[in-house]
Amino acid sequence: MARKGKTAPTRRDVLALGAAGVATSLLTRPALAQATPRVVIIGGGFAGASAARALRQIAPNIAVTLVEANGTFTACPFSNLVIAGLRDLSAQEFGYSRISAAGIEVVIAKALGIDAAGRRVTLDQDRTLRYDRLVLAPGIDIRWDALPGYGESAAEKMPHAWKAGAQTALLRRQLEAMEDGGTVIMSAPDNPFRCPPGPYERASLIAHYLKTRKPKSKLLVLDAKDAFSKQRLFQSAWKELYPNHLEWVSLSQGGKVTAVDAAGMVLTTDFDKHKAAVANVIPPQKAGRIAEIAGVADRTGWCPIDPATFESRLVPGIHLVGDAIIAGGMPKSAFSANAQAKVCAQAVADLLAERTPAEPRLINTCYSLVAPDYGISVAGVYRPQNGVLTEIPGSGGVSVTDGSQTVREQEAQFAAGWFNTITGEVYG
Amino acid sequence: MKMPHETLDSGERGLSLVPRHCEPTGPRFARPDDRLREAIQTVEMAGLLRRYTPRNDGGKSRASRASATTIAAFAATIACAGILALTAPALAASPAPPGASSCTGCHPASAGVDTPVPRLAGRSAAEIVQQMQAFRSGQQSATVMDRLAKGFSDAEIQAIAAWYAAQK
Repeated sequence: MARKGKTAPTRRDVLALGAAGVATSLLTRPALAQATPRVVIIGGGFAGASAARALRQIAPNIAVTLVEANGTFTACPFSNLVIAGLRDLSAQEFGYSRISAAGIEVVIAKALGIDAAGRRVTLDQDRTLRYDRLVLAPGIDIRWDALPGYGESAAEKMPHAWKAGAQTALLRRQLEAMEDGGTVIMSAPDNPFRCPPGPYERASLIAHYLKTRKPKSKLLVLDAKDAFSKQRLFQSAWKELYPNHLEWVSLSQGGKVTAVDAAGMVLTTDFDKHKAAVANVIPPQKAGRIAEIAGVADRTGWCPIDPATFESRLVPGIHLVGDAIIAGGMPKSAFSANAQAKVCAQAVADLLAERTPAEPRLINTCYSLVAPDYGISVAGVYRPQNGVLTEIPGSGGVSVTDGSQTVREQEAQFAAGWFNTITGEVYG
Repeated sequence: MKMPHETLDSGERGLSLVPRHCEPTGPRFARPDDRLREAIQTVEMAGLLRRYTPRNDGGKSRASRASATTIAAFAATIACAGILALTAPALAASPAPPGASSCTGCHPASAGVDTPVPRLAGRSAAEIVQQMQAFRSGQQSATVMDRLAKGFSDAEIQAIAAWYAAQK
């Protein structure tokens, strides 16, 4: 791959031997100032915006441009509370003004093409951006061809709500408009997909809504899997909190949805046809379209990366972070995206300064709410091993199964704190 | 009682604070802990650590294991203090050691964030090391940190702690 300075002593090593009281970054700056390196980052979600902020902080000498199609970012974490009527969508919305104020050039435009050989990005309105290194944070796209009957117009009747925003608001309105006694049906996809515990947090909070607001109604979860994230914790909480309002049907019980009919509000499985009052179809996914355009997605639809530098395995000079990547054991979460972005930013700064990036350690922590005051979590520590991000043996795991009410309340508070912290770091 | 696994067998390694498995594995990666190692060596040379090095008793008795742990934790504290005294300005501006950049996902980098989770920047390195070791050993109960602390070696924890202590 296009990594330089593999064996020679790096500038950092040499400087480390020098006067201890002098900041290394001050010394490296003049050498780089001869030509300002340019990094373009495409995608202003948690991954891309985190990379921009981190790179700006790590290497103020690098010119950073963040390209994003929408002027407002709508965060997915906590959007299940919005669907359940417990939070306003506006609490999920963040602008880019603080990112601009931090010295990052923010370009609200759609990236149309990438010339990896010429190191150029083409934007709409015939604009182009030159880069020395490119960071893509493509997020996810829906596989519109994967589920018969489910296309963009069907999603207006059976929302996926797997990209936060209008779809989130639509699902909430449908639940609010539903008469008591109706059946809500959720279809959950096979792995891999954005936010592995997400469908089950959503199921919990929809069940909470039904239990408190429409007690004669019921949620049926049709799943294309037999196992899912934090399963024991979710299922024991469901038994305790929502015995009459939530039913989960696994793959082996015939849960896989094979087709939908949006006009008739029918979801078809191998054995049954289910009529829904409200249907939330979480369809199969792939890396966002820009990954395909750049040629960094493989046949799986996701993007293979070097786990130390997050550089594409397919196209040198392009780095990738967030939900679009094949991250080994690391789940597709906002926490992961933020952790990856910070490591990637350091690696990009190192590579541009001809330093060899250090072997990283990354953390993920994902909270899920089973009820507004009932939180559970999964956590892990990861390192590159055999070319992929691998969980460090003995670390990580899920919340205790016999946790007290106090522990669950604490985790719900930590979840809220995490959201404030990460959005503050990235958009504040 | 479970002991912090890195410090338990300190007898074998003569209380090296940089366990062998934490050495960089190949020419591929830079050595971010060079400065840490240098500082530790300086402290060791000053005789501060040697004075507290336990005799090699194979760690057989509970009491001696416990005291080895205490001594190792104390030695780590001294080492961190040594690193701070020696290289604080350089550390503050140096790249975050492996793992450190992830912490601000929950521990806010700046003040004024509404969260029950404390900031790490500017806290004493000794305190961070002590907390992490207690989380890892189970002495200190936690919701998440017990699971995360188990992913880090003593040397990694010390490097992270020293770096956060040097931040504003």
